[in-house]
Amino acid sequence: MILTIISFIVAIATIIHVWKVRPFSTGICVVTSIGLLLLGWIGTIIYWIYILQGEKTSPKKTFNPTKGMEQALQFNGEPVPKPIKLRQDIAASLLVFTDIYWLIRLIAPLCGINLAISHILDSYIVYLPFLIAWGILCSIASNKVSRIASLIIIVFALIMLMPIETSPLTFAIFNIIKPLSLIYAYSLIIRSSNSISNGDKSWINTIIVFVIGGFFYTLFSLLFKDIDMQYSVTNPSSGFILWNIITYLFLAVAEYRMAKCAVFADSNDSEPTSKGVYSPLNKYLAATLISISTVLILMFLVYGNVDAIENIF
Amino acid sequence: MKKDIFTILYRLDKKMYGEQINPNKYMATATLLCCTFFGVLLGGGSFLSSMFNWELHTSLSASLAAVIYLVGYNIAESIIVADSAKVAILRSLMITGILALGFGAGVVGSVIVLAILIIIIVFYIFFHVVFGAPKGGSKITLNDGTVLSNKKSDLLGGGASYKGNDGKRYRTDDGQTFRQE
Repeated sequence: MILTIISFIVAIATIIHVWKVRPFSTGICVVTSIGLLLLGWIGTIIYWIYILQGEKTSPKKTFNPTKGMEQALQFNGEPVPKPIKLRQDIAASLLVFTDIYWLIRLIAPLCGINLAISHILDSYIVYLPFLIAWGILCSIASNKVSRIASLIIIVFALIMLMPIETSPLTFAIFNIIKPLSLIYAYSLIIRSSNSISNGDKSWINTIIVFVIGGFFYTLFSLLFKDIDMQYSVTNPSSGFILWNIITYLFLAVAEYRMAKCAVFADSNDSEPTSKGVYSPLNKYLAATLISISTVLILMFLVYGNVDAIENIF
Repeated sequence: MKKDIFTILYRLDKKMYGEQINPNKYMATATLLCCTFFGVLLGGGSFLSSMFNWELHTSLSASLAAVIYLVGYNIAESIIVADSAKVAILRSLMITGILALGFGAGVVGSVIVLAILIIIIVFYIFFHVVFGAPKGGSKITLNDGTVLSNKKSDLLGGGASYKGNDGKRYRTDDGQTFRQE
């Protein structure tokens, strides 16, 4: 509930900001404001109906897996109570919605449709459901490690929702810290429990890989500022947009699988999987550093010899 | 395991490294297909640009950058999903090689396919002009109900002759009026 209240405060702050800056016409401003508040209300209603009602029927502290087995559904061999499954479904749907939205934003211009949605509104449409989803997941996290991971992602979502104007340097530093903290959070989720199936693990790993991939873009845009657009992957003829489309499809499946995995089954799994589970010096950090350095070295090789390369064809 | 085109590299991974690796079923194959697609765009675009002066030329640097990104994705995945450093290194090298081959195959394959298509089109047009339309081509019904078929166009000029369903041959110079030969 606290998260919902915070979301509303941020929503109202954004609306005030939008009205002050007025990036588009008054009519669109009104529709946007109503839309934002409506989205907040929908979130609150969903929260109230499913989560609070779920709490009443299945109090967390007295949860007994054998009680009410007729309502329980099989999941990875473990029974998942219906109220918990409902929360998982809601969170999964919200996360999938964010990916589908980005996908539509990507495909619409290709079909000649100009959605004319501002960056602020984009952030709200994506990060408010994202925030609500992670609030739900945090409430059904099985142990302390996964709860901390959820909280890191919630903080990230809240920052993304803040209409803050920063200097380019602060923005660049944030863009470097953001993927690193997300990679750490997702790696905590994977390492928080031994009960995640191999299939789910492979999909959560995919999310980490895509976050690392996003990091490539960030560093590329920071280090290769002077590259002509026609030589970069942003050149439409490179076909890289196909990979962007595939990315969102993968992310939609991966986030769905993650929300439905054993970590978020409220199973009171308090056993730490390994010692040093919180250590950031793990293979995920190694993967980030090695892949990024490889990509950057190869990029330097390509962009250091652009003229020679372009003469090949 | 379900055998489909989208899990080729997953099956190869499992065959080579078994339980030492737990990659995503579709990720590596998706990157391979994308690399081939980048190659097709580059090869096909450059070929058509040089042949017909069309504005389809793709920058090789942009295509290489796209492939490098996907190599980076696979290196990251290899390190994350492998149980040991050895498997991670071997898989990274293997997938990098496969992606490079996929890209090369896309470039060469698209040029070959386009060249074959152009040769077929050129030959079709040549035979069409020299020997006329193939049998069973367009049919024309005259006012008196005679159905004309087997069009044979003249090599020069816009005239053509047809065979009527009454067994006689008909000729036209403008495509509108017909006379018996």
